[in-house]
Amino acid sequence: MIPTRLFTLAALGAVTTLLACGAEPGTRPGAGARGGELADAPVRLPLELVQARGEVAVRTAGDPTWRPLAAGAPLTGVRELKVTRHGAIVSIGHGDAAGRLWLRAGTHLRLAQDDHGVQLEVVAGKSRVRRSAAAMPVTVMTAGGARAVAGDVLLTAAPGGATAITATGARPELADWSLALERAPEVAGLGRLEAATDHGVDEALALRRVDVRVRTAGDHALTEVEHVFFNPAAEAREGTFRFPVPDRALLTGLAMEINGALMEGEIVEREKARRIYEKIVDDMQDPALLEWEQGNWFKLRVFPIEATAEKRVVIRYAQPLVGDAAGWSYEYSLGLPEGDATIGALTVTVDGQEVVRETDVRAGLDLSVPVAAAAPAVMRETRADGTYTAVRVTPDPALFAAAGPGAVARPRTRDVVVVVDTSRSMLEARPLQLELLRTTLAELGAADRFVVLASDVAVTAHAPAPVAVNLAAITDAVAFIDGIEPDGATDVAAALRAAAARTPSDVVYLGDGVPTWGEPDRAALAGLAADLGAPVHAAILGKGASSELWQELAGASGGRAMVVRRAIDAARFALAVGHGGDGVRMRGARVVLAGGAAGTLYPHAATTAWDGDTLTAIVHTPAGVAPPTALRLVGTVAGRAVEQPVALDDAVATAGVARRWAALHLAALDAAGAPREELVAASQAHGVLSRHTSLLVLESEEAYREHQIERRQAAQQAEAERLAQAAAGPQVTGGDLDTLGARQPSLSPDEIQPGDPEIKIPAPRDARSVIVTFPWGETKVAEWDAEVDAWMVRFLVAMDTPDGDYQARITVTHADGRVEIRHLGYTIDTTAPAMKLTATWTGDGYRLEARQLPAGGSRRKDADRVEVVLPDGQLLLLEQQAWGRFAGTWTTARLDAAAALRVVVRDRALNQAVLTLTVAP
Amino acid sequence: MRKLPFVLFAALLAVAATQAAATPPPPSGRLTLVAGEREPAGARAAVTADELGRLEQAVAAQPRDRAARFALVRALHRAGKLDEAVAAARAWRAVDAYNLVVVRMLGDLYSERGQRDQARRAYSAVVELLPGDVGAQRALASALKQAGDLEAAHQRLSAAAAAAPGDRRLAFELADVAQRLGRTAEARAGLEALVADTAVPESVRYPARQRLAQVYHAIARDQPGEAAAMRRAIAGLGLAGGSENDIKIFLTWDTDRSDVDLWVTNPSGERVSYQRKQGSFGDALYDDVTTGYGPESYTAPRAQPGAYVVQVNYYRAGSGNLSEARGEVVVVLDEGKPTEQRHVLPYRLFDKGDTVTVARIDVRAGGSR
Repeated sequence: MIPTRLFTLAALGAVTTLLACGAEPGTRPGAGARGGELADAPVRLPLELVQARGEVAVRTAGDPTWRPLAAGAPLTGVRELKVTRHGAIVSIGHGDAAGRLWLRAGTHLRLAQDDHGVQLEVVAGKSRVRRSAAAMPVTVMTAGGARAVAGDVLLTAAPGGATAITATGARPELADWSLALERAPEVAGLGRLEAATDHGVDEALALRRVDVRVRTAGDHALTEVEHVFFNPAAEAREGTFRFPVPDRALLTGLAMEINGALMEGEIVEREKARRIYEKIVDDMQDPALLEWEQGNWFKLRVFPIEATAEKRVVIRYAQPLVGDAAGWSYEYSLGLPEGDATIGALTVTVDGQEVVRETDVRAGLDLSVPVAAAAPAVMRETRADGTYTAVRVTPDPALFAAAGPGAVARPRTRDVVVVVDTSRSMLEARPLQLELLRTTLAELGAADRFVVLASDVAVTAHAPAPVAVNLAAITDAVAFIDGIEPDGATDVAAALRAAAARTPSDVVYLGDGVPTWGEPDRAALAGLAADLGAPVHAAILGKGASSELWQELAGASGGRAMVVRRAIDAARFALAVGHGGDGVRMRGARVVLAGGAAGTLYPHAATTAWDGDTLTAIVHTPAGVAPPTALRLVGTVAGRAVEQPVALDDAVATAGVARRWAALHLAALDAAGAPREELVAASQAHGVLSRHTSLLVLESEEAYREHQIERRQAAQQAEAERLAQAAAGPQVTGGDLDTLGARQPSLSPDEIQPGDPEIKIPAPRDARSVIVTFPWGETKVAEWDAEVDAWMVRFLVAMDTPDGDYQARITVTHADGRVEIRHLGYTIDTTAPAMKLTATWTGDGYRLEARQLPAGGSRRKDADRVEVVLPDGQLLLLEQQAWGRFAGTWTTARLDAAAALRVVVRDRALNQAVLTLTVAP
Repeated sequence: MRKLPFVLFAALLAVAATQAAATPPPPSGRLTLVAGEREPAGARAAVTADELGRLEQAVAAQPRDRAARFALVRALHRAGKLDEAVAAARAWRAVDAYNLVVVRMLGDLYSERGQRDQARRAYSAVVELLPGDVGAQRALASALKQAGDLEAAHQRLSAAAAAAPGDRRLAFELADVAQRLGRTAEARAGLEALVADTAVPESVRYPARQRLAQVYHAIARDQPGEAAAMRRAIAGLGLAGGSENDIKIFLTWDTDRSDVDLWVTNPSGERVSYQRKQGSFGDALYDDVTTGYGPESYTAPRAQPGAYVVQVNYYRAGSGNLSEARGEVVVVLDEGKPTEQRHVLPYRLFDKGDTVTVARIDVRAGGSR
């Protein structure tokens, strides 16, 4: 057997294990002390595809072959599920009798069923499960044994092979990928450029290339999306480019190609930017103007887009990495609605490692790229105006334990008061508000009750007393609000008093969050909210929405406040309200400066922290003042004030911290009604857009000078790159150095043959050691390789290694003594694909088909390339139709005599078979 | 003079009665106020069906033409077709959601229909849409004052004053409303701050002194122990004609950069106005404010027997075609005396040149002086 030349990264896990908030206490009878064991029997209930955006495969009992799970064909006896490229939703039992599964791209799940119910184990990736109200129990194999789950939980493959459980309501943002599966695909991750035709109709220009380049910096990632559009028209046109910035992302830059060079945009006061843009368009020069349009969409006006020419536009944004039980991941979701234009070529590169290279992209993509097992807790950026320190603070579990067991109690029946803002500011947001109301009510428990209060200058209840949660009641409540035309101002105090009069167990607020009538004083409103004696959950939406007040009210009460711009945000909020009520929580949690320390710390508002949550605070210390060495976390648990010191040791130099602080600073200034000039100045100083600024690209440095626009962005961009390079976090890549990137990557574990592949570990050069431990117990010490600027180790996969999935552990001991654990998964595959070949005359040629058969004990359908050598020597590449199925047409006249064609088949591990297809006349 | 609709007139009287009831005085019997109209006589002139049809066609042809929309709602209003006017205003607002003119018109129409809650809801949308806009808060305060909702007006003016702490005329309005709400301490503090600040224009400072004198009078009346100090304080204000007058009239309006004039015709037939600021009976107009909001004031230290006719004239409109002026005339009879009476008379002027007679003060011969 030829040693493999292919080895790519599969999975990288973190050592952290999140609290199993949604798990019911107790272990399943018969389960082992660690991890438990799945029952031998497969799932007797049928598994049915509810929604498949990716490719879903199952393995059933006694059949090792992965077979596609087809829509409309429920399957019983399933032992394993696997999803690639994009996610899927699967029901367990007819009508979700036992529950529903959401599977993220790259997820591998094992299932079983015995007399105690359905059992789940996540081998790789992430999934979400909702146990329905039916009697069938669902248990999950965790590090602490088999645990029964109730409600809605997230499951993550954690290091060591166990599954970590997190209550979906406690970390609803981790469920975004599953919420996206429930709705029609929308544009995400890339922009559209439209230009008017001669007939005045806007048409989308072809997107020839998209290159997504990502650099991680601490617990954030800096993403640069480069688009290359093509204008097929014979004349220059003005276009409008629209780009949806991902949730929680901060738009930081814009560049456009002008005369072959990328010109960086500058942040300019909005009205001034518009004036300059209009003037320059009149002069037939090359400007581009980027402004916020609505929701998370930004709009870029571009002129000119030259005739039959390409136009390159680069957008940059910063967004937090996702940290969960598997470690830290970079997430990128590419959304291509059905019928939308294709992308000619797409690449995604994360920290120098190419993770996606595709051409003729027609479907969306959901990427979760592991980047680190741990992220630094203290990150620091030093600029001329001072030091910016970001710190992630995890409350000590002992603080929650001190609350005692009674503190977890949650009423069996919740009486939920939903305050719906019916003021005039909800005019444009009303459809989203109705969706929010409907979704939130639908996520309440079957035993819960609710009443809806329409609130503007007066408050009107939809029913005299709370009503039970059911479809008819929800429909009535939504119709009640729909029947009220948004009008009037907002009397928050009146709404809080009306809610308090109903002694609720939870209060939900759906509105723009701005009190414009009655009591405006925040302290007075906080007092009224405290009188409720119930958690306040606030969804802030609408034009002019402000979350400042409600963050404080929610944080102090043990609830949550979220900004809702899209339907998916509404669904996330509903999960938090419906499934976030369990568990001890810290109310009024906030990080504050330790006594005597100087600096400006954000966020100001208190929040609610569950056990296992992490709070992030950022403090700016002016130049010449020593940065703080410690902060304090304060809050209350079960009514008792608690405090935790936070040491700021071992700060890691990290790019982008100042911008993150600036975004919070701008929001605070805006909420405080700061003058426009102050907002504009802060926006320009930090390179962060505000609602009073735009990004303007001019065609030359001279043009910037002419319009008296200081060139700050280009300098900031260069500085950010320098810092990012200096502070690049450790990453792991694997692979054969000759072939990495030459083939399409896959999100599923990659496959190799026995041999001596290399692992490349780009840990810091000054790391004390990098050690790889293989599943069979062997340990290898990696060495620094200056040529590839990474730690390298070569290992031998023995020839007699059985085919299957394996995982290596990488231990990086950093220069400061910090130990980082990473995991690297791979698959051994030695079996060449066996194929059944057929040729059928179609009238204008022969349709050639190849179907993969079980071979060598493997039923894996992993063939990924089938080439046919035609009689004239040309190669015909058969197109993959489904897993293990390929087809193509050999256009020729009907043969007079039989012909033997040579067929070369290759699988993902580069196992190759040469076959002969005899074509009859 | 055309009669006002009964509802409107009753509301007007109710408002006046409410304001007067704040400090119920014993009637002097010598001075009597007869409330007049709230709108110019021609404001409710008949509108022909042809004219309405033409206006409706204009709206249909140009649904986003604000002038056409405004004209149609006005015409329906003038024709007394309040339901149709509400429908037309709602249709306008549906396509012009952030237009504050139609928002206010809708509130006015609801008020006239007696739908107080709906009127408040419609009016208040102004500040919901523009929570940081001082002008919007002020306009809403004016509408609320006219509707008799002084508490809500005070809140709006407080919000406006917080957003524009340097606006001294706004501070005056806030103190004025505080005084009318009986919040003497707040009114006193606000007015004293204005009087003490030499940078405040005299057009605001002088009326502030006038109001402050009234506040001091009220304190002297309610707290006899303070009476001497208050008398000294009043003397220190240096008011022309002193602080005890038979008639004092204040005029304010809500439109910035416009000029509304107070006309008072005394029993001799003299019209005391910006053209003739001194009357032959010692009565006088203080300041002709031509830059919006007022206040202007008229003082008659010793009223002569006969009738004083109080009118408001819309001399010059502000910017825009849709502006109208509205505000209040506050008539104080027996100012600074135990028999002091205060009457608040809202008015509304639609077009440049409009004049409305808001009150007549009948003065009997002889009397208490």
